[in-house]
Parts: sequence; C-alpha cells; structure tokens
Amino acid sequence: MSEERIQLTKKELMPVFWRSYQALGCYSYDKQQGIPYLRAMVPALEKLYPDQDRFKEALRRHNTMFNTTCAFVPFCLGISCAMEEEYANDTTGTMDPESIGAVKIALMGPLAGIGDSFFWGTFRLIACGIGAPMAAEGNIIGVFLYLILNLVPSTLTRWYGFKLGYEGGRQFLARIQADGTLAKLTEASRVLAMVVIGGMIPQIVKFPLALTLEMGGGTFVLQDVVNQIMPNLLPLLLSITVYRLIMKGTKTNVIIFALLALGIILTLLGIM
Amino acid sequence: MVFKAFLVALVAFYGRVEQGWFGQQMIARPIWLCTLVGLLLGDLQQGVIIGGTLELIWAGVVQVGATPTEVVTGSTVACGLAIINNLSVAEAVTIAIPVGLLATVLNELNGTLVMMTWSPMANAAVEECDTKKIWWCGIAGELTRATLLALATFIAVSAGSVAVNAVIDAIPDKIRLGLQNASKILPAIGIGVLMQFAFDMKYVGFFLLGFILPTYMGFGSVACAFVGVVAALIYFFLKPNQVEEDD
Repeated sequence: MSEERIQLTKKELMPVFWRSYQALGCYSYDKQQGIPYLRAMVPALEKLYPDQDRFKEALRRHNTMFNTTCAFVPFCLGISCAMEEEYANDTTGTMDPESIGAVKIALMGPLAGIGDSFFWGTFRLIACGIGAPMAAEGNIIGVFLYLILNLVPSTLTRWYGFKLGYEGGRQFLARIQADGTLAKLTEASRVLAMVVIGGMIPQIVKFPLALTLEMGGGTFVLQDVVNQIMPNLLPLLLSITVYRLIMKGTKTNVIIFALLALGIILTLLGIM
Repeated sequence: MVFKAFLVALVAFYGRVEQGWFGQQMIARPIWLCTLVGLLLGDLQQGVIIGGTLELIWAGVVQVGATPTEVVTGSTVACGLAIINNLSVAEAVTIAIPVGLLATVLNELNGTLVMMTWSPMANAAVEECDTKKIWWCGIAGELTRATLLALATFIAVSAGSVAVNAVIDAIPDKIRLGLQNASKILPAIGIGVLMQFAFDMKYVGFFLLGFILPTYMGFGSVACAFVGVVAALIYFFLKPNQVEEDD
C-alpha cells in the first residue's frame, strides 16, 4: 500500500450518487436493497482499493441486507463512502471494518421510520390532498402540483443528504438525535400530517344520503338532519371506523370489499 | 387496439422503473400514470379525472412492507380500458380495484425470481470481483418485474376491452349506481391507512382542527396545508427539547 492518501473525488462520488437512484432496482426478500447498495458503492470501492484482495473484501462487506426510505439512501451511501475512505487510508490498523456495516445497520431503521413518515406519510399526502381533488375535477394543474410537491423535497433530501453524509453526517445525526431535535422534527411532521389528513376528509370522502320521507305534511330529508348535527359527520365517523379496523389488524382488501358492499346495499335500500 | 394496448403497457413499464431505477419519488401513482395514459390515448382530460379519483381511493396504499395492491398495473389497465371503451369514472374505479389485487401475484412471482436468479448471481459476481455483472444484477430485478407487469397490462387491455364491455353491460343499473356511491366512500380507506402512520391520541386536536377548517370555514386543501405548516412550526419551536444538555 502506498503512503499517499487515497481521496475520493467528484469523479467517483457522482457515479455513487447517480446509482443511488436505483436503490429498488433489484429488491429481494433476503437482501432487500442490498444488491443495489453494493452496486452503488462499486465506483468508490474501485478507487479506494486498487489491491484485488482488499477490493473483494470490500465488495463482500457491502453484499448484505439493507433497507431504508429511498430518499435517505444517498445519505447512507455518503457515510459509507467516508468510512471506507477512512479505512482504506488507515495504516495503523485501528479501524475495525466491521463498523462500516454496523453503522449502515444502525442507521437504516431510524431513517426508514423518519423517511416513511416524511415521504409516504407527509409530503406525498400533502401533494395528494392538494393535487388529487383538483385532478378529479379535470384540472391538469393538480397533476403538476402533485409532481412538484413530491419531487422538490425528495431531490433536495437526496442531494444534500449525500453531501452531508460524506462530510460528517454520522456526527450530525448523532448530535440531533442526542439533543432531541430529531424526535421533535418527527413529531412536528406528524402535526402537519394530522392537520392535512383531517382536512382531507371533507374533501375526498363523500357520503351522500338520498333518503326522503313524506311525514304529516313535512318532508323528512335525512341529509339535512345529519347536516344540522354537523356537516361531513358521516365521512368523519366512517374514516375513524376504518382507522380503528386497520389498527385491529383487518386487511385493507377486506375493508375495500366491505365498503363496496355497503355502498351497494345502502343504494338498494334507497338510503344512499 | 393492439397499438393502444402497447402504449398503455409502456406507461405501466415506466411506472415500475420509476420506482426501481429513478428513485421512487412517489410519482408512480395513479394521478401521474393515468395522466400519461390519457395523453398517449388522446383523451388527456379523462386521464386526469380518472387519475385524480383513483389517487384519492388509493391514497393509503403505500409501498411499505407487503404491498396490498399493485397500484401501477391497476391504474394503467383501468384507465386504458376506460378511455378506449368510453367508460365512466366509476366504472374505471370498479375495474382498477380487482386488477390491482390480481397483479400483486406477479409481484410475488418476481420476488421469487430475484431470490432464485439475481441474488445468487450477485453473490457470484462479488466472488469474481466482476463489477460489470454487479452493475447488471443491481437493476435486473426491476427489469424483469417491469417487463412482467407491462406484458400483463398489454394482454389485459387488448383482450379485456371486449370482455369489459360485456360485463359492464350486464350489470343492472341499480348495482351500477351502488358502485358509483361506493366509490365516494372508498377514499375513507386512504384516510384510515394514513392515520395509521401519523395518528396518536395526543395529536387529536390537530386532526380535528384539520377537519373543521373545510367543514365550517370553507378552507381548500392548499389553505389546510398552510395551517398545518403553521401548526408544525408552533409545535417545533415551542416544545422544549426532551434531552437537554447538562449545565
């Protein structure tokens, strides 16, 4: 091994970043995103380990199970690159290569937790709440709003996540985790999601009642009676019921068929 | 017909590789894929409407863990059939749900294929230090999956048109009206699944706030999202950090 320090440059790091996009390129039950992760590391490892044996050892090290939210994969790759660089240049033998894999495993759980609630549960949801009702009415601007609201946060997270990961992201993450900022950030995103979800109910769940009865001169309109109690009451109750069923472990597909049946039965009875 | 089915299958292929090769940026969803189907089949407006409607119903179907519904195939097949055969939006929704459920079988088939073929091949490539092979293995799983699902979409759209018309015509009007009504309450599933992600009793106030804004104050979804951002900011800056530095 030469004495000169092997440094990763843009030439290796950019291919790693671009390969992060294929994180789901070969999803397997045993390694999940593991093979694409290995594939993304190859450009960096090739530069760091000119020695064939050490290169193979590095490939083996990354040929393991890995799984997290796609938008956070570049962050993890950045950290792995920084750690591999450290190990490749470690002439004193103080660094344990096992730690590279250990950090990956330690990161993927919490990152998936935050990532899924941010990207699946918040950004996509806001984009859906804004874009889908517009699109359902035939307004194509709703489609573009949906795309922009998803692509902008995800692209920024990828790019800055990768940079941050390579330039000491491990320490940064440990710091915001230790001082409670990370937990607060997750909670704040849930607050945002709750307001948006609550606001979506009146806009996307409709429960039209058709029942009218002639009663002693007056007309009884069921919908009006329900509206006097509270408009959108039925959509609210229905949504909460579905949520409770899901929490009890009822399969979504079962609920889909139950609601289809409910709609048909209520229509046949003349209530809807 | 065959050419149109081919175009729909292209969109299904794109939908899968968006997730596998372009980073799953949450856009391989009905709202965007149906728009593309509409654009290619020459009825953009209908594509946008079907996409928006399906998005609302499938808002809660997310690719985390086991997938209950193959959203990509379900939405492209339904939208394609609906536009080609001049079906209503409610009828498109009725087609999309079973198709989405059936197509999950193909996802499982591909999962097995990856386990038996690409995964061992990647292991071998590591031992041989064959970086080119690793490059291919890392994207192969999604190539086979996208091809499988695009093929299924092509067959479903080209063969399905005749069958779909016959089936739809055979449904009595009353039932069809019932399906239409059912498609209005189905989005409650999306809400339920999303609440599963974010709901906790301590946030119930924020949930009800969100509900009241459109109900009594006529807020639209953009306005609701802004209120949500404000609520999140207040929460973030006013809540003390749980772990304080020793001093």
